[in-house]
Amino acid sequence: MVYTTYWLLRARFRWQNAMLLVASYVFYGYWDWRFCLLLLLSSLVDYVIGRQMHASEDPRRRKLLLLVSLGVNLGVLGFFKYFNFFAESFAPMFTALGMEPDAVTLNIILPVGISFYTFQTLSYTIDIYRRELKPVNNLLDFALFVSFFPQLVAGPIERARHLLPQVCSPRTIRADQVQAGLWLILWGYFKKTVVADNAAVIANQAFNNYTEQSGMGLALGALAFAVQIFCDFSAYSDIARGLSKLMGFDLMVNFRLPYFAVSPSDFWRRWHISLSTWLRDYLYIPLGGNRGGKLFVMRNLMITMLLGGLWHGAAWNFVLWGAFHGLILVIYRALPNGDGSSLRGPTRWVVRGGMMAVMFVLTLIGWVLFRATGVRDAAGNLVHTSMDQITFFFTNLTPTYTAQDLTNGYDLMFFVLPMLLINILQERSGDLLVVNRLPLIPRGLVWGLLLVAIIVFGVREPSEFIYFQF
Amino acid sequence: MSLQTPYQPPDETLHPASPAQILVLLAMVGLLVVASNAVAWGVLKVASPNISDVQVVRKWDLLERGGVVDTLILGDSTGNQGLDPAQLDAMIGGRSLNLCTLGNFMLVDDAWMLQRYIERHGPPRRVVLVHAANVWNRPVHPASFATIPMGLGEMGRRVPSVTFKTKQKVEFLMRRYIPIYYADQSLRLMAMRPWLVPRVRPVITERGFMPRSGAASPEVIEGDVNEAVDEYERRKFGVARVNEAALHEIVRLAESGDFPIYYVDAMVSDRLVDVPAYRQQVDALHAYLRGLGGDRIKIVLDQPIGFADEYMQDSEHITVEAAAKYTEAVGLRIMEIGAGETESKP
Repeated sequence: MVYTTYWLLRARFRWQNAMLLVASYVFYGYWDWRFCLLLLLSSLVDYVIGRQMHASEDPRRRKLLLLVSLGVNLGVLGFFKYFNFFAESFAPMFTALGMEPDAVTLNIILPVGISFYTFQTLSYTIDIYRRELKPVNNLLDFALFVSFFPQLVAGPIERARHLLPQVCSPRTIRADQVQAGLWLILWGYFKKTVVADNAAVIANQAFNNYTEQSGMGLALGALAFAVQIFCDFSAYSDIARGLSKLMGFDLMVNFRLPYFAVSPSDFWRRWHISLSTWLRDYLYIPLGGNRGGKLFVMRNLMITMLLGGLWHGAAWNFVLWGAFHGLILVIYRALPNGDGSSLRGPTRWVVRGGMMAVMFVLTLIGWVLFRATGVRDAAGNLVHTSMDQITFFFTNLTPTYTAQDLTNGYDLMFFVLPMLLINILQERSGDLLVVNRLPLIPRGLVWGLLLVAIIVFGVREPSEFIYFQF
Repeated sequence: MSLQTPYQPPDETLHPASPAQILVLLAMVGLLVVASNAVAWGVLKVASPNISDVQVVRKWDLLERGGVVDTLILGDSTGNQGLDPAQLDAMIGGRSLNLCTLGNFMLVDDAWMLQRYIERHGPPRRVVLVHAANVWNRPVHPASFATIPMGLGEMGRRVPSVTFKTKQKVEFLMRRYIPIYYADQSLRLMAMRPWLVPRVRPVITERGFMPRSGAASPEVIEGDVNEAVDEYERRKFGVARVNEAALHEIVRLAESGDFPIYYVDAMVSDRLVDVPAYRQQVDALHAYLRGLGGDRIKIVLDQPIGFADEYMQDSEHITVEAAAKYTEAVGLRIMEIGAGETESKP
């Protein structure tokens, strides 16, 4: 219905914007209408601040306005996302001091996608502060930029200077864009329903009943989660980008085959690119970036990755995950540079394959930290902490297996292999849309087979995208 | 290509397309889905691993090609794997055919099968009806009915008449004609573990008996019994209107053909047999049948037969070993009842 109306309004892009804004608020309010108020608050504050900041020549006033924007946005984010975490984490300290911590912990519901749109709107005020962007004159346009429904709840985190110009001008819908958009939607649904949701069964089995797993069961669980989180998150990005393309919008690429990375820095050029580049531009570089001594750069890397981990969620396992990635970035930085590209012949592939394998194992270790959110019983009580899970995983990776592990391994391969074949084609060609380069008949065959696979092998029970919780 | 130096992660390149090309592409995708559906339909027809589907198709096929019999056994899945016609024949004589299908068809397909049989061969000597106590008040389930090899129109014309609302018709037609969607679990098994298909496909004898071996674990049976008890405690005894119409039709056919109907309670786990809520349902059902059928309906078992865990696959389905005992008990009672009252011949 939204798309038909959008199409009918194609001669009037402002009407299209108004319709998309309504659709976005309805979509977001579907979870809880009160969340829309937060979205509105964020939009109003940054719209007003952006204009005032641009109009002002007084550096102190501009800085003050930026601080207000940061304060409001990060304050709301901090309250909803991190209050319980800090209150619970520091409760033992309060108790030791003779204080009663129970009253501090509130039952706060986390608004869906708050981390995504907060970072998106912050990019607007920071860019205006840096004089890299002019403010928009139309509140409706700005509100749409903040709430644009395809990417509102799980990204990509768009930059104001990339998305706003598209919002503020008429869009044209071209056939090549439509083809790319349809492919991205199909590919996204395939990754989500066929690969991610089937891998989730194996991953959940391993992480929720980790004490009953063999060594291979644990390793397979970590592998299944690596598959699940990549396919789940990148699927959302693909679908969001595909839908946007059908409406003439172009959102940034968020994933570039991260498991083909040969080093941590390569991984972060490929994984959740909209967040990693945001952290690079608005945190790492302002901290000093690569300038200064080695220790200074390492500090910047660690701070950036720790905060990147914390962005994912208010839990120690995410902090650990961030710290782990910071650490491997620091270690790789100390190693000699190279990705095997200077070598020739088979040696090149062996070296590069080896580097990929090492990086993939490191990524898996990271995912164990990330996924270890603890185990709760039916009543919601924490029966195993994150640390229990992490310790068990890394101390029980023995060469033992059960018949169930073999079945799970086979199932995982069954669902992953078709995707992997296309991924290899994408990596080798350097083109994520390589399938659309195929002649019409093989292209139709690939598209059709993916649709058939979704119908037959797709998991039908509704399951939310993992990154909705962030 | 990413083979340039140094390596760059892949990027997106838009590839030229025209609206006509996209339409052709979408048409190809649609055709491929339709073709896959047709292939799935054909493959499932000959090698479906779905026990229920195979059972229904086979039973209706036996009805058409099974010839004249003395005893027609109708009912649900409990009778399907609980009553062995060959063993019954050795006890009561004549030739019998087990056409029991699924609980979701309730008594509706019993009536339809009996009509079809009489249309072809005239009345049988006797009908044995076997049902679990929980089928009497179920709603009509369009997706289940879609597996009966009968058109929507005929279902509406037969007695009892089964008609569907538009949404149910869509569900019915999708279940029947879009196996790629509705038979996804069967297709998954065939694609992912084809070597298991021969093992899960049921064996049904030429007399319609489906022997099942392998008892379930006591935990599984206990869980299933608990669910059944919950259900019996929650729902008072009742008979769905369509079931009542079906039973009226069966009794009418029995009156006009002058043959008796032997009603047999399905076997149950001995964990369930003495549960008050279950027994109340059975007693209420017997009273209802006596009230509706008079002398035409003969209650074979005064109380259901319970079996130990080692013979059960869940709360009310037995293994082939227990089926022999169950058939023996039912056969003996039919003989007793038959000796007491002269059975009329067709």
